[in-house]
Amino acid sequence: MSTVKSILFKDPASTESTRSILRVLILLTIAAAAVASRLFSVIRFESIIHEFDPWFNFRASKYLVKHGFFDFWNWFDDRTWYPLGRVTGGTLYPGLMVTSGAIWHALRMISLPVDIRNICVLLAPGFSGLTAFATYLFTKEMKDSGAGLLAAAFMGIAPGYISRSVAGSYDNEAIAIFLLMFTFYLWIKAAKLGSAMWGGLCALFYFYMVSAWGGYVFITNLIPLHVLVLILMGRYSGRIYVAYSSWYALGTLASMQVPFVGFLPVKTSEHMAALGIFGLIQLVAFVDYLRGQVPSKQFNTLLRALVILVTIVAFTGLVTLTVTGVIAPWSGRFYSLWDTGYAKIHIPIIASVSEHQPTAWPSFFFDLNMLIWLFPAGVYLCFRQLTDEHVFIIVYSVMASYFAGVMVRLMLTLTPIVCVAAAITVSSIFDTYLEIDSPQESDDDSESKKPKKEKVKETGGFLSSKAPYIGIYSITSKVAVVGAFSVYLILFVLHCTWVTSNAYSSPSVVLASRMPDGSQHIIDDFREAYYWLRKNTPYDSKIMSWWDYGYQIGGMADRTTLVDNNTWNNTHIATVGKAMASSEEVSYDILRKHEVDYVLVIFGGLLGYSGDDINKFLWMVRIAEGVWPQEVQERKFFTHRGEYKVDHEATDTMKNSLMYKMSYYKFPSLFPPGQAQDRVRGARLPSEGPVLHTLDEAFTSENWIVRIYKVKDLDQFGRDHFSVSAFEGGKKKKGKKGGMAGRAAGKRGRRVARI
Amino acid sequence: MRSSNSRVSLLATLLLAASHLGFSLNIPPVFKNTNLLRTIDVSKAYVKETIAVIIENTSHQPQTEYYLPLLVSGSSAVSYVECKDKKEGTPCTAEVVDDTTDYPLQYYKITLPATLQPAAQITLAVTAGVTGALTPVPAIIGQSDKQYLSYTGTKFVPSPYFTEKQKTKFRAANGEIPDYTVYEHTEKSGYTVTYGPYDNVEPWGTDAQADKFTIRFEFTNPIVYMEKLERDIEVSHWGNNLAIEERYWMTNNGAKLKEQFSRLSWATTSYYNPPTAAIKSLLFPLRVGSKDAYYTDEVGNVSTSKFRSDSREAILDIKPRFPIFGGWNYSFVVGWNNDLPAYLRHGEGDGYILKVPLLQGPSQSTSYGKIEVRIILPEGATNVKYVSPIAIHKEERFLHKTFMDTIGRTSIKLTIDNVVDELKNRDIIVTYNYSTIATLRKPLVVLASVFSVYVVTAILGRIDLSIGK
Repeated sequence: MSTVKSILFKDPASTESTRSILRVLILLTIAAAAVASRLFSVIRFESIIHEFDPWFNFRASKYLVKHGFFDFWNWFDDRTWYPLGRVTGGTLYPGLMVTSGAIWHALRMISLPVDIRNICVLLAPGFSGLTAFATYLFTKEMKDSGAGLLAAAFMGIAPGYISRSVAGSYDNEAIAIFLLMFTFYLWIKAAKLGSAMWGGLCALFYFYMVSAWGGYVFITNLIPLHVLVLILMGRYSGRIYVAYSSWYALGTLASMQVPFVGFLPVKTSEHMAALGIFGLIQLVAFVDYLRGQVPSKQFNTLLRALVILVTIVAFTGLVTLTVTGVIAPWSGRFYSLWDTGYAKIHIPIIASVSEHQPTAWPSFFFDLNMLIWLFPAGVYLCFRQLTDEHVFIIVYSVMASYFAGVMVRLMLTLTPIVCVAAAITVSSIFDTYLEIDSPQESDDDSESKKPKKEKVKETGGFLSSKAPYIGIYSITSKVAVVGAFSVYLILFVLHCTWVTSNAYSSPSVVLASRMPDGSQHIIDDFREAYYWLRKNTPYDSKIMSWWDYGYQIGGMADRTTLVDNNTWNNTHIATVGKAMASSEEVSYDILRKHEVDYVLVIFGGLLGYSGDDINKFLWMVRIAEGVWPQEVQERKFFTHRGEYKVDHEATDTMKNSLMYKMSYYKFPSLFPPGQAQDRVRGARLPSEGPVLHTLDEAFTSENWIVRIYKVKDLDQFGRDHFSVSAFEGGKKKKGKKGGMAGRAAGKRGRRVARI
Repeated sequence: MRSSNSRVSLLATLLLAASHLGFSLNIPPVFKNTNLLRTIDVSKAYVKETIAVIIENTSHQPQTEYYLPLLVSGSSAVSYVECKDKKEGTPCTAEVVDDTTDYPLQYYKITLPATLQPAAQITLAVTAGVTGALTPVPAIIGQSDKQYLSYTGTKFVPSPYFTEKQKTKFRAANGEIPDYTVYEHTEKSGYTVTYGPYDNVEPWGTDAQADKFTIRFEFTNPIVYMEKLERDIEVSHWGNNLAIEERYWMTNNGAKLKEQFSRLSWATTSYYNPPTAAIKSLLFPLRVGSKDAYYTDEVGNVSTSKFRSDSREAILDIKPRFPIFGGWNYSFVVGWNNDLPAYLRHGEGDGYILKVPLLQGPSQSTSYGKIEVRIILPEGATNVKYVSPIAIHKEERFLHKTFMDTIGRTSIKLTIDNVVDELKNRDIIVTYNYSTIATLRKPLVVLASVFSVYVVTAILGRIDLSIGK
């Protein structure tokens, strides 16, 4: 043993260079593994942008690359939110697009003209490698480089982070988590060294973070909280003062340069904590200075007076400013962080997004696996040492755990700290159990083979008196513990790979299914329909669809949309919801007034695709009801037993709604009479399909997932479309089609819009 | 009397040969068409005219130039004219005469393979491709209706010479020919409608208005029209690879849909696989040995393609994302690789000879509005010359900069307008010089830049930036 040891570890000075080479190699391997495990979707499908928001980011990146930075900055997009448009340049976080644009230009400079799409697709995996590196640096500050490497490895493959950073998920989070970790690392460094340079660097990366993701508020509040806790613990020092002041002053000024942020850092409640702590730390510094100048008795009186005065002034100031409206109150999204039921009642549009729902317990295990039970141990270990930087870990853990419990997507901010804490735990265990040297067994009694626990206790007993070498005596226990943890680590890798491959690597634009012979069959209805729109409709056509598909239509079909995933105007979305939820005569008015040419719906009834519009329909109704409670009522879409039905039991309101009609138009004819079945809702449909008067079916994709309808022009003879179809159907009498026609008759005077 | 007659006929139809007058070209009547057989083949989505004519020199001097007019009325345009001596097989050149006074007639000057002595005879075979001469009638049809096309021509072959005997055969795509103009000596049998034989036809025929015939015939295939094709042929000596990428902008020029597209009836009828006027798939027969084929469009990869490559054939079978009905558009990209040795030979010194097909494309009959072929040679290739099998309308030379090039690759861009797929699979021969030094350029550049990055980092790493010690 000792010979092996002497060969392996000759002396500290000469092993140091070997170690650093090994570290670099391990970090490179970790980065490679992080990138590689995110490429499932590229290998299985193709290099494609995923889901919804990334399509906007991709479109914006293309715009940036094509028109240059200044045009991008001043971009007014008239192809979304028709007819309002969107001040895109001022309402986005440009960090992501600017990053990929810079990479694109840099590659072009060395004559590597890579397609911007490929840069966008591979940006997230690339940055995950950097995140692993940042986590390494961060954890190294907390414990040592061994823990750092473990943390980097955990971070590289933890599903909680992979869920937002697989190849193709080109979203703000793709670079934001790297920036988060790196900013925190710089902050720890600054706080440790009390260096204005590190504080300035921290501010620089904070600025990058602000430009990249709305989640920068997390940093804005976490660092002040850390400082506050340190001050309350009586750990104020000049280092903290220098670090915080330089970070806050520079960081805030820098962050205000982002148009979307603007004056928010001095105007909104979310940013007030940072400002308040900035004031507080000045006071504390002042008091600290006084303490050195004034005798202690007077100092106490002075301090008390000062504290009371400042508290009163600050509090009244804050309240006055908030009441008078200078400081904006907390935003709705922020309230929903404290009260999970808030959004459902007040802002249905936030509640309607699945990633804003509270987290289910299993998803912690799903996303973090063994890390979740190592996490508390790591936090406990931080308590044992409790230097300034360990306080940061504790504060971060508490905050992130809470937020992750409130909102699914905030699992993302929890993941890094879980990785760090778990790495500290595992590395502590390995430090203890992987020591090759066993303590010399000096005691005669201990020659006999004692159980491991007693031995540990015994050595612990010696600690105070003799302070001998602490360690594990028995090889067996070393092997057992190290073996067990190796197995855990291997299982963790397997779990991560399995989760990544099965849960997080689907582009959701393209669906995969299996043919009877086991070969993969791609269901590509979305792109089929979007491409049809792109190629076979006039360039300035306006497409109405539910807002989920706005970005995809903009990105893939390149057509003007009414609403999209940037849900900045609730009324406009409610208008679309109303058009979908109302009967044809009401909807036609809305469609004409918004100059809609095509209406697009997603229908999964044929294939069993459950994310379709009928399943989202109630949210449309709710959002519309929020604006027009008299005209759209959720109750009317439920049967008298309170069920949401699409079959023959469906209510008249449901059956007459535009959404229902467009979804099921002609659908029953695909089946033998009476056999029509909706495979998502498992409902047998009436054999008579709905009749459309004001819309024409323009295109339906291969598996009927996307259905596009063309809005009919006004009739040439000035008739309304109901009488036209009645006339063409050979019926002279108009009032013979049940409830709908009756209502049509009542409103006939208003309906023929002649614009 | 003649002039007024002509004006009336031109005004009235604008489709017909202005025939016997307004003729500004001074064509001496030195020939006589002894026997002329014209075949108008519309089995493809464009018109292929074949004229087999025995001509006799009726003058006293030896003659070499024979003039042939072709009818290009309305939107139609001549894609190519080729000619050869039918007996010997020797080719002769056909040049367009740059004169439009006789619109809608377009003259071609044929230089005979050998000087024709007085009273001697020669048999010429002239082939011409005419695009845009077929119009769908009716212009809009239902989704599963049959598509009919209509062709209008003259029963007499326009010629500046006296014709002793002539006949026109019209060959339809199948036997379904519901309408055709009936004259005397008109006969329909099977796929063909024959006009003639007509004896002793004066130059320019007789009455233009009366000459006209219109034939409407069933055409079950889609009319594939590529508005534009960009074809890149990239030679890589290091990779020993010939990469071909083609970008198509496709339209179906057939009858448009009467109503909107109905997926229901499309799905229910597609089980029987009926003939349809929609483009459902395209088959690209590639050269043997082609590999790594891909098929994408503006929104990414299209999974509905099949590629088979073995020692006998290589076939890329692609299915567009949606069926393309009349008037619908689609654009896509296909590409594949080939091993270079099959296409490139080492010539004298550092010279190389590249022989690649100028145009490939789908096996379905296709016409092209514009083709841009870019031949990208290695960086540093010089002295580029080429021999094209098709007349090139425009040539551009430029440097194409990609993949760590320092000066850019020598490239030529050849533009050809109005092409029909009759001309595909003909090889263009490109010769160029490529020296060993040019071959080593890229590795050296990469090496030098990596080394300089290394040096710069090493220097920067040694700079101490701290403020105080």
